[in-house]
Amino acid sequence: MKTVAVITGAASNIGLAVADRFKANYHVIGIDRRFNPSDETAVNLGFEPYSCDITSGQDLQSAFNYARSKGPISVLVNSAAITGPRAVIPEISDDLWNEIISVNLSAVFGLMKISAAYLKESRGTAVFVSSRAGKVGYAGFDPSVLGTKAHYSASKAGVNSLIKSYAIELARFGVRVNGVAPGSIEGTMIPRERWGELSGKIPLGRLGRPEEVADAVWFLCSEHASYITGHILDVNGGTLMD
Amino acid sequence: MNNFTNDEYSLKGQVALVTAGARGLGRGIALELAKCGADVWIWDSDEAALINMKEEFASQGYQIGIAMLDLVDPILLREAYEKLLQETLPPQILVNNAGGSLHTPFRFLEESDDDWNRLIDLNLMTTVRLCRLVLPGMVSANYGRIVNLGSKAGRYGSLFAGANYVAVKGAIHSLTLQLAQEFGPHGITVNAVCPGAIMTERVRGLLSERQTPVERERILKEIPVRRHGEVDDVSRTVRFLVSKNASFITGSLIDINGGQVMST
Repeated sequence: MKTVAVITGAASNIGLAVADRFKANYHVIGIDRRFNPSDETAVNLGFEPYSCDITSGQDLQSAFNYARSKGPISVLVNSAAITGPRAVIPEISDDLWNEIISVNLSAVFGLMKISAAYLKESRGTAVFVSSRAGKVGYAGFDPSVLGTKAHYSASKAGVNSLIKSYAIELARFGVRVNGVAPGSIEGTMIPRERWGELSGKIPLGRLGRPEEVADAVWFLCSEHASYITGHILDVNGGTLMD
Repeated sequence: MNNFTNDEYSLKGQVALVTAGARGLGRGIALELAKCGADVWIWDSDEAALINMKEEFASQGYQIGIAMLDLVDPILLREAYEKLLQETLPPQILVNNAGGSLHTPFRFLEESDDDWNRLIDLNLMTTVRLCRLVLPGMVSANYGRIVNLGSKAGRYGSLFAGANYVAVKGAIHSLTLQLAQEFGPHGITVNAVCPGAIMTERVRGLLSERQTPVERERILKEIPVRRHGEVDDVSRTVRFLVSKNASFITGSLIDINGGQVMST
């Protein structure tokens, strides 16, 4: 019997690529608030779409109850995230700040609270999709363009810290917890017209593909990463090396 | 947990060169790569271990090439590489595993210039020279995978290896980053694995010599997963890094330490 992989943000970009990568080997519950059960495209995904707002603890608990009814939950991958425009800090509204922190950071805290018992039960593993920005902010970007994404960077830095706490807390139960830190990845988060300009700044000379991040997630969830926990794996074509 | 199929990680048709591959970590890495179908070549100074390994691999159905040489001799390295090119294609995969602390003192003030120079030669210069030999072929092919053996020691210091070892491993990390930047435009990825204490024969010996049973017990309790690493823990990460699945990962220093230390 297949075990269950819960994958958030599964409607697009990296989350969709991860769900696609895992669906042959796991019963994938792909969580996303954008899923509509009556949507025909969702039916053809090859995994089970589940509509859920991860910022709601109640919704999340229901999603995990449902997922557990399909089998032991051995994998959790969180890819759900939002971003906002580049802006200098005085111009970032409190509303935007709170929204990004809520989806990118507080929801991760909520996911950890709820998933711990399930992962302990299965001696499973979790991977959180963080970001290069969570490690170094927007250092390295053109400083003449005013404004960074302080909201997004701060939220992902918080995720990196949570990953380490969760990894330490769950290690004794045989549960490994890691992160991936993608750099510039093709998808809707970066407007297509910027891909060419960004490629020139990446040692490998191109943006990454969501599937390449999914491959890294797959590795971290596998027994091949059996002694790796609390690590945040860069998938950035060489734009940040640490 | 998911298992990889060998198809997914297939290295068929690729030549892989692994240094100091006759025992310990190098041997485990060589076996993983051979299982994935790579044409594996092992260079090592221990002739008996090489012959033994070749026979053992053959009995498992894996044919490997071996060469016995002193890896710190740059002339022998060049000759061995020229000979390799007469027998097979230029390597697409290089695993720089040669290294170690050579039983030099743990305490900095007890280390001599010679203790430093020998470690620089074995750990760093062997890696530099191998990269220098292999990279032109990778540039011509517009493809290559280099994995260097870094260390937790080189990132965070060590409880049983000395400053000379820690410093040369740190240098290997820096070399990894610079080569990744310089050769990324040629389709070549360069990464390093940074293992904690992995239970090879050499490390077991060092631990029992330099730490009391009480200290060893205490350190084990400080490792979140409550065990030391095994050779497989490292070799399978190397296998990932040389595969197509790691195609957008370069300049990465990957901690394999059971959570003992977590990087920023």
